Amino acid sequence: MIACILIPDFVMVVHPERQQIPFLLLNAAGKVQAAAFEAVQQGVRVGMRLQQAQAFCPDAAIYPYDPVPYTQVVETLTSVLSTFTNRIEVATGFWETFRKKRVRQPIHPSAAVVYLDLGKLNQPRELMALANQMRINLWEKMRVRSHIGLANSKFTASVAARFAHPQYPKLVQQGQETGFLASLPITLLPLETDAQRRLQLLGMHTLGQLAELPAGALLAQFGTAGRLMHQLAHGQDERPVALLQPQPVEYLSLHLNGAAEDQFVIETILQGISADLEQRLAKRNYTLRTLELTLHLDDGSTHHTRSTLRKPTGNGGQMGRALIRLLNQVTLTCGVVQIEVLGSELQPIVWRQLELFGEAFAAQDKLNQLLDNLTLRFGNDAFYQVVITDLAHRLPEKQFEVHPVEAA
Amino acid sequence: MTHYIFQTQLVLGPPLNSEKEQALQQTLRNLNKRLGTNAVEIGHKAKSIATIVTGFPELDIALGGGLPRGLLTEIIGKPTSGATSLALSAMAQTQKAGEVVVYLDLSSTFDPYVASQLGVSVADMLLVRPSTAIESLDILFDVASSNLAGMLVLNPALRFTPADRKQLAAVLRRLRPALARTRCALLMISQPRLTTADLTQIAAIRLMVEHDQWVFEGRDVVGYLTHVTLLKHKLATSNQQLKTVSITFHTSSPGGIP
Repeated sequence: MIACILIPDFVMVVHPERQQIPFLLLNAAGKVQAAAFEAVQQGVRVGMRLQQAQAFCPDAAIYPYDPVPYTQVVETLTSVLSTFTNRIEVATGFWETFRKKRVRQPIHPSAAVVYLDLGKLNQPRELMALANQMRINLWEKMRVRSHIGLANSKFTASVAARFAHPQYPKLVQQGQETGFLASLPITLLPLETDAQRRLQLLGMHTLGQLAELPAGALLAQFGTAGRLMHQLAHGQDERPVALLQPQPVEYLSLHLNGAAEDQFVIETILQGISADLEQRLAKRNYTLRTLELTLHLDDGSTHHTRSTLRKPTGNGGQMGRALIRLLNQVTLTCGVVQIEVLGSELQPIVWRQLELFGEAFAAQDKLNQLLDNLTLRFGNDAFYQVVITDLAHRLPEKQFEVHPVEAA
Repeated sequence: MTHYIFQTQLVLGPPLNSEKEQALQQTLRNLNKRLGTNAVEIGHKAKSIATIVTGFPELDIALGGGLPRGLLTEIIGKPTSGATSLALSAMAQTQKAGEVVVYLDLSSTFDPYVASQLGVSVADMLLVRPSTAIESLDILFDVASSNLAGMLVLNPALRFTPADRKQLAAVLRRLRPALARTRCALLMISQPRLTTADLTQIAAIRLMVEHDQWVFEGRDVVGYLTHVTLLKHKLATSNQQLKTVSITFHTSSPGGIP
């Protein structure tokens, strides 16, 4: 049995201080990463450019997207729910992904969805009591209103959560999925707009109508997406509750008093930032692999650069040198007023004294040794490493990036 | 060039006595002094060659266990035939064995997405994109002879001139003895019109990959079927015959060709 907890206004949970509503959060690429519910009601969607979002919602306040508070709130959410089960999947990327089929369905730009695997629990009374306890815990510890749906599959549970009352969880028992979904619209399915339109032209408006069709007909018409539609219309969803959580990051932002134009001054600031980063990582017992530097200039322009280090590090000196190399890639036309540094691909520090675990590191050691030898002789220019950016992205070319290898 | 002397007592007569043994050793020392270190070596009985599986059992059986380590395997195929996919599949198997893989992408066509679909852990491999042909040959020699990589895949550039290809053949010839002492399997992906007689001679195994048909599920392409023909198999035993094997690559691409 799977419980789906839908938190409609997750954005407000993360930013309770932003009472000025509606508001938008922009990521470094200038696109909408999240939005308050009121902005969503006016038509703002995740991934929209700022101009487009402002056309829908001209009164929206705009803030930069900061991943750190989101990660912290998700960690708190996970710890509150971990008293019920340790199989928790958090979909706070605001996208729900059907990975195998590469189909993505936007759930809500301001919402978060959490799935919990409750194992073989199937007594209605016990399930409702558990769901009520979850709802109460979330309200008491985080002041979060949640809608809870319970079913045997993720899709049915998420649909049940959408139709659940905030005070009463919705349970769909085994065998009742088809009946529950029958009268619901096909817009709930993770379909392309084109496929939805085709279904409507064929006279299919509800999931019940879709479920009555033979699977072969949908397969022939829509391919693997058709097979997925048929399964979901019957409440069948093979996806397990995966332990997915947003990756931890470390983020530092510094507003300067006056614009800094001197390169030496900016380098000194970056070294100070890396010392701070070193302390934070040491406290959490992490090392980082990727550094992103964003410089906001006096004329309103922004420069963003990124670097993947050859080996994960928690050393302030190495991070400082990497940041200075990133700075040297930017041509400063005027003074810098704000500096942002984001460290990602955090990895816990692993102690390697025991020979028992030697094999796990042998390949990595060999790769590093090979790279050291080659870069010593040929320089860094010819050597690259592939970095996974977003495996859930719709476009394959956006899932990976190829970065030049950093100097040792 | 390395010359081999086989001890004649293995074939013709009784073992050499100590005087003749000493005289032979002295002669070898003099020759090596004159011609260069290791110019002349005593031949040894060949050891069994270690292999890396390709991920396709039928092909591994035809190859006698898999792709040989310490030797050059040439995979020939037109674009979209599946030659690169076969090499990537072998790379994935090498990584599963806990070894390092290096991809020398001289044609700048490496696609991380396709590689990850075929099982390659792209974050744990080294991608090399040299700027010049000369640099690429130097890097090739260093990586292959270092014995740190389990597999080195070489994808020569279409922009290689005939002179570059001659140099590549010369480097591979020079690399052969050093490579034989390592556990690195060297794979070269080439096209039928670009392979040369030199490369044909140097490769221990030559595989020709030909695309046959797409595999559909409804309207969606979910893979393709290819035929792999063993054109040359230097290590084949007398009861292994050169033949064609069919393999299927599975991709996940709803709605279109991957």
